[in-house]
Amino acid sequence: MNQRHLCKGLDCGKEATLQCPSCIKLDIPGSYFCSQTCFKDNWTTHKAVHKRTGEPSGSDPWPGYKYSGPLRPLYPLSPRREVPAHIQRPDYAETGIPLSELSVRSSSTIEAVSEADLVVLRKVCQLGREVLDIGLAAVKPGVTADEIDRVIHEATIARDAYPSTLYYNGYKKSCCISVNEVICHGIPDQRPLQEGDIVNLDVSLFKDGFHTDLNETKAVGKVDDTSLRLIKTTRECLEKAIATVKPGALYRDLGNVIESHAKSEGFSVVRSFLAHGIHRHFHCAPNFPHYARNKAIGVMKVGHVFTIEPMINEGTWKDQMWPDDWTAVTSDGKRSAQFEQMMVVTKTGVEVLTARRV
Amino acid sequence: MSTKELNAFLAWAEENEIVWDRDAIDIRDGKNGLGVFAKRKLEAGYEVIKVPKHAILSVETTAIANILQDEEIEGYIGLTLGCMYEASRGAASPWFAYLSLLAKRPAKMATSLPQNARDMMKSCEAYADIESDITDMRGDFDNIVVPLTKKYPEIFKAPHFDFDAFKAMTAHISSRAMDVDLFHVSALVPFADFINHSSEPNGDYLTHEDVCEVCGSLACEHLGSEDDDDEDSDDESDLDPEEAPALDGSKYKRQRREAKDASEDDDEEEEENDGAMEGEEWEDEGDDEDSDDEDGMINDTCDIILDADVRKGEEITRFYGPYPNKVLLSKYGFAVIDNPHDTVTIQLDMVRQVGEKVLKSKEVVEERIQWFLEVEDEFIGADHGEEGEGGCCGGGDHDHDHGHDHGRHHGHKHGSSDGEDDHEHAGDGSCCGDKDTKKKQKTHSSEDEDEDAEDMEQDEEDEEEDEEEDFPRDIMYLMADGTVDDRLFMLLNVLFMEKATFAKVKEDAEAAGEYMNDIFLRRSKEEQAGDEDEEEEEEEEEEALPPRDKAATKTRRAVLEATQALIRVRADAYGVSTKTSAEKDLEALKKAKLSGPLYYGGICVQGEKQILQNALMVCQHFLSEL
Repeated sequence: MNQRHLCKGLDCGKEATLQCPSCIKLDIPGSYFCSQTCFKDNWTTHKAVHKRTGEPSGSDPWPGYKYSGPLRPLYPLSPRREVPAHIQRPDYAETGIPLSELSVRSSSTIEAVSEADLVVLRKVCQLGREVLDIGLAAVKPGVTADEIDRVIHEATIARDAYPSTLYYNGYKKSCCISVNEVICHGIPDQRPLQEGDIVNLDVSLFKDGFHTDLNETKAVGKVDDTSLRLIKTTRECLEKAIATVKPGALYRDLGNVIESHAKSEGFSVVRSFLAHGIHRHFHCAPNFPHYARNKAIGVMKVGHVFTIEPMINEGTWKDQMWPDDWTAVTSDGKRSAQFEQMMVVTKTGVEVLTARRV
Repeated sequence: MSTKELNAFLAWAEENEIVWDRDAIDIRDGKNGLGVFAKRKLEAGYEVIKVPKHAILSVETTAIANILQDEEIEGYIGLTLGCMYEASRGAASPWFAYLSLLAKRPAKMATSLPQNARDMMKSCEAYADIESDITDMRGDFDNIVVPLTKKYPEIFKAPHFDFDAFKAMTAHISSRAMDVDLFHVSALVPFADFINHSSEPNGDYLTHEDVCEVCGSLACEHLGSEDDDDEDSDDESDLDPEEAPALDGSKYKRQRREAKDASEDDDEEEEENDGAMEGEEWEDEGDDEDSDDEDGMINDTCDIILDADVRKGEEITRFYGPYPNKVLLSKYGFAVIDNPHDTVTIQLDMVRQVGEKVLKSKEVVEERIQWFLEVEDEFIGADHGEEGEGGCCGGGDHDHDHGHDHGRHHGHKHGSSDGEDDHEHAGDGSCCGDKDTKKKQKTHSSEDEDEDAEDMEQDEEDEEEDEEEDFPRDIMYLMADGTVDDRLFMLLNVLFMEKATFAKVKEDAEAAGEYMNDIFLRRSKEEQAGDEDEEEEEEEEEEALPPRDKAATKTRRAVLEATQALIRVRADAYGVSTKTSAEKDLEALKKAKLSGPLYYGGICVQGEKQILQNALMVCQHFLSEL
């Protein structure tokens, strides 16, 4: 049935088909206007509607949203965590806007990190590894994602580092925690982890002017065979891709390796999220996907520093977004696993900077 | 022509989201080689081909984009290397099917002719251009390609980067590359580049040029990008700006995304969507593009669109540009009989020599020439000639790599440098991010002719590497109809004006302006008088010009005689006079049944002879009137 809308303008009643863009962003339905003129005339009164009426709460923060899988968030999120004043902040900590990233001259230039800078970067990456391992150790049935975020946050600042995700483009937490069908960028909330879940912890630190970024997926208690196989395959996809890294190799060829292995196990490769360069910027060139036959630009050279972070799905590769505009989930509700390492291209091949040093 | 490669290419084109209708057009061999033909009647406005920008091959899409950046290799050489690299990757390249098709059809350029064949064109101006192309190519290979392959042997593997490969790819780039936008600059645009040239085309090439120079998007957050579109900004302060933002007529994005991806459609949801769906009617053009991209961004494509109706079986063509034959030959490998944009070059030195002969004073000649060079730019507004602006880029769409004066293509960024606004934005600048405004990539709108004429002259010929803004001042032209170009016209008048007149114009800029206006006005009247159809216009003239006084007549005669002398310098070399017939030469050429570059070279030679013959007739005519 076609629903007709009438203009919300004062003393107007004309048929309206255009909507206020701010209302759309804020999920306020029904803000229809017949014309730009009418909209403009009513703007001052209309915009009062945009003031938030309250924070989302409970496990149904977005009524009407159709979830693709069984997972539900549990609000409210905990208050913003403090970072001690002595810790160096990245340029977006205040405004959320990563100005240095937006100021690059060209998207095809890939910086080579100098030997001197690599010395610092190595240390920061190892700190990242420590923090991730601490986070992973805290994973148990009954523990909430928010508690793990607290553990990670505290481990980060104890190392005099800033958690890179905090306020990056407005993101409110210190790490990403992605459970089951969440592909990536899950926001740590009050939901306790359950036996049988799989959970990815994505940790990033900023210290001495450099960022590090790494993640791993872990089983919570005892999980089913498919989940185990999914985790194992994803880790292998990453390892196989890393094995091909060397000067002269192409960034666009990494996807061929990853997809070939994922497909051999009947899994699919997420297409919407890219691997990225990372050093002084959190995200910079090169940017490349993990699926086969892609057109990413870039030839590897000594000194290039970047992540590889394949997201592998049990079912379809397609993803969708929760209304928080961060959490990406599989569109069929089946599970997704991810592994991420950060590395530098060397003369002979590659050095994985975030590797666990036994 | 194997259909296997063609079919593989068409399958590739579909896979890469190039849009065309297999029932409406196809690619086949025509008299110009491969071309695009209509399979049924098609109407003006029909979108023949749409090529998404991710399918083009440019310095920004080739895998070695970062290497080209690091080594600061730009322009046509960067594009050539980028394409050579992809070709060297064979089946592993995303452009394999397209490059294979090109490899099977090497561009037959004059540069690939053996020396003795090229010598046959020695008297023709194109000869010098072709020879310098060959020299430049060799120079670029030795100075740029070789050191690069030595520096990155693991990237540039032998034998894919030898001189023959470079020459072959240069020929492709020269004859096929098309301008795209501020980000890609020039690129190989598969499918669209099969459209051949015609001086009476039925189609046109359109792209949206104004994109972010950092990443190529229509709307992004890169700083310093010209279109800072805040429609996609998540900053909450944008929700309540001072003024009402633009209303949104697109589908309610989140619900639509779910409806697309969810395996079961909820009826309730569809009802909610329907309200929003009606909003689509307001934004017709934008909507088709929106549906492809989840972020609602406009799908940016390189398009071929029909300007006129075509019949079944007709070839679809476009206008490459108002190029003289020498440019067509050296850049594209062909030439046009009776090309209305053809020119013959007259060098400043020739003018100097003739001047010295007549005036018998080196100093006077030099003084006049210097003054002319200093002030000529101020009189560009006085000229109104359609084809007088140096004979090169008088409008037409841009598909050529600036620098078609051969050899100096390095580092020229198309159109971006001085902020020329190439198309009209809606007043508030919202058009690029929001509505679907594909504007013609014309750098010269008719309203801004005078201003653009200046820009045009500054942009076109780039022989001085350091001064990208300037054109070579020591070259002037005879036009296809036998008249001289505006600069030469002005210079000759300056050279031969009375001493008193020169003294006056030198001191008084206003007097100089008046003088120039006067001579141009007289000239345009003369041209109209020569044209019988224009007689009505003469009657409508507001002011009848007074007849020339004795001094002016003297100058006029001197100008015409000098023009004749200049023409004779070239004509004698050709054996052309008012008594010879360039038309007969054309007949002979057609009978000779040559083909390829030799045939086209012959057309160049004949064309120049025709111009010289026409020019002699024009001078003779005007002299007889004095």
